[in-house]
Amino acid sequence: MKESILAVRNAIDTLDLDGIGTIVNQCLKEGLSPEEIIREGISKGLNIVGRKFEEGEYFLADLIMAGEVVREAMPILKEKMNPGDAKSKGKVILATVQGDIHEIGKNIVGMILSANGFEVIDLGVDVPAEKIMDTAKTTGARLIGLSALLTTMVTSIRDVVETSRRAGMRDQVKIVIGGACTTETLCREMGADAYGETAIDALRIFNDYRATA
Amino acid sequence: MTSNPPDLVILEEIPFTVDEKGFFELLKIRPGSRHAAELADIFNEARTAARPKAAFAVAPVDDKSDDTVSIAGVRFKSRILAVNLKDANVAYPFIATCGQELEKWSSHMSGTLHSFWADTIKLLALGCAMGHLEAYLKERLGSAALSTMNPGSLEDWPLTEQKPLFGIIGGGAEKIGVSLTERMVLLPLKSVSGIHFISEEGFTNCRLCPRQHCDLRREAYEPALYTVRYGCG
Ligand code: B12
Repeated sequence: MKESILAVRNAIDTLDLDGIGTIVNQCLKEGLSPEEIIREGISKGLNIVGRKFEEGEYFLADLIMAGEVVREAMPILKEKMNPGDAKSKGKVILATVQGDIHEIGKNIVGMILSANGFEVIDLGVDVPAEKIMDTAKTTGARLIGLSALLTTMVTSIRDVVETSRRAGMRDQVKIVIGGACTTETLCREMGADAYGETAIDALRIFNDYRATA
Repeated sequence: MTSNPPDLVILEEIPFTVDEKGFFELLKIRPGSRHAAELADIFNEARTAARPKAAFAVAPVDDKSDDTVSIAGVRFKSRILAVNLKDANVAYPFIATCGQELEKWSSHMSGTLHSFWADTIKLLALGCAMGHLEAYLKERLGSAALSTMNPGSLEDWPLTEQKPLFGIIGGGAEKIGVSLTERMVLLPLKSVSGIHFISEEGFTNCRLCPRQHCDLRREAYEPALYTVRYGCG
């Protein structure tokens, strides 16, 4: 592995916001393609940070800053890419279900998804099912991530599933759930499509859906 | 049973005691880095705007049964609350909030980074309100054995019990700018509700909360406690 690619990973891992621009430019100067820099440098760097977060070594602030480092690098890389290749991986609607206000987990999922090329439409907290499906209609987003931490509000997940059915869109959307009070069993009970325990799971699931779309 | 309206105490002058250096460390912003000046501005704005607040009631515990307890004439359904209050004559229903001032201030924040900073500030302000209220009560009561329960934390005392709680503390909530939506959400979002009480035995939700992976766990989960202390299933 080229030293300069390792430097990209390292800059993300050490949250080096001021250094990343120079490092990415150096990679390009050495003839590395933007795609390779993203695949081997940026994505791998984010994986390191994500793992450290799951293991409790990093906190939310580290993740946010890592996201900023990536945000700093992307315009430099996009400028050198063919317009077709710079396309987003697709739109994901994220929301904390109606009646619940916990948003830290949802925000982390949003961060990881957008740093990995998804276009995230974050509707915030306490979001009614209708608003979620209206957004799906108007934006064309077909991937939906719901976060729930309050046990009493898990039925709001079913509301989203039912609302999508009533709108005639149940087959077109994928509804993924997560948040500390959700489980695989709950996912089946509520009629959602998938359950993810962590933000990294969320990324894997949405990547899979995208691949099979 | 008739009950006198409980005394309400409003704490409006709670200082925003967040240490700037610690705040920068928490957010991983290095001094002298590009974001440091931006964050310093935001922090100063917030410090000027912040008015964390709390309200509590001094409420008589007037009737107890196995699974319910009446406080200031308002009935709560929770076995755990009833058992926890079995030796108490007075309970202190409360609400603490980051305050509408910060909520309003943060509404102009946009982008992941600034929104995250503003959210952290609001949570820290809520922390100031909660800490201040606890210290105030401990001093006023001359006791360190202060415990807390929050509606919605445990299955035994569900979120719908925000309603009776507001029945007692509602007037105080209004004074500190906190409201309850139909879906039992407290506004501003960075607010919490609950009941403080004196208990020599002590109580934390954690001991009855099975959730793994919680950075904020203060005590270990004790599944047997339900049966041993509360005589539940
Ligand atoms: C922080 C917090 C708050 C903050 C909220 C801050 C915010 N902006 O979100 C404040 C202090 C405001 C708060 C208030 C309340 N809270 Co609270 N809160 C918590 C706490 C301590 C941490 C939650 C958290 O952020 N965890 C960290 C994140 C990273 O974890 P996470 O959300 O699970 O997300 C991860 C995964 O689940 C996953 N994930 C998350 N979403 C999604 C989505 C998808 C699609 C996927 C795939 C994955 C995924 O990825 C994330 C990263 O890996 C929990 C306790 C706990 N340990 O969970 C209680 C907790 C959730 N709160 C609780 C309660 C009851 C309340 C109140 C109702 C209490 C009260 N009576 O006042 C109030 C409501 C306030 C209101 N406005 O109405 C209870 C809920 C009990 C239950 N089982 O229903 C808990 C469990 C605490 C407890 N044991 O009592 N709370």
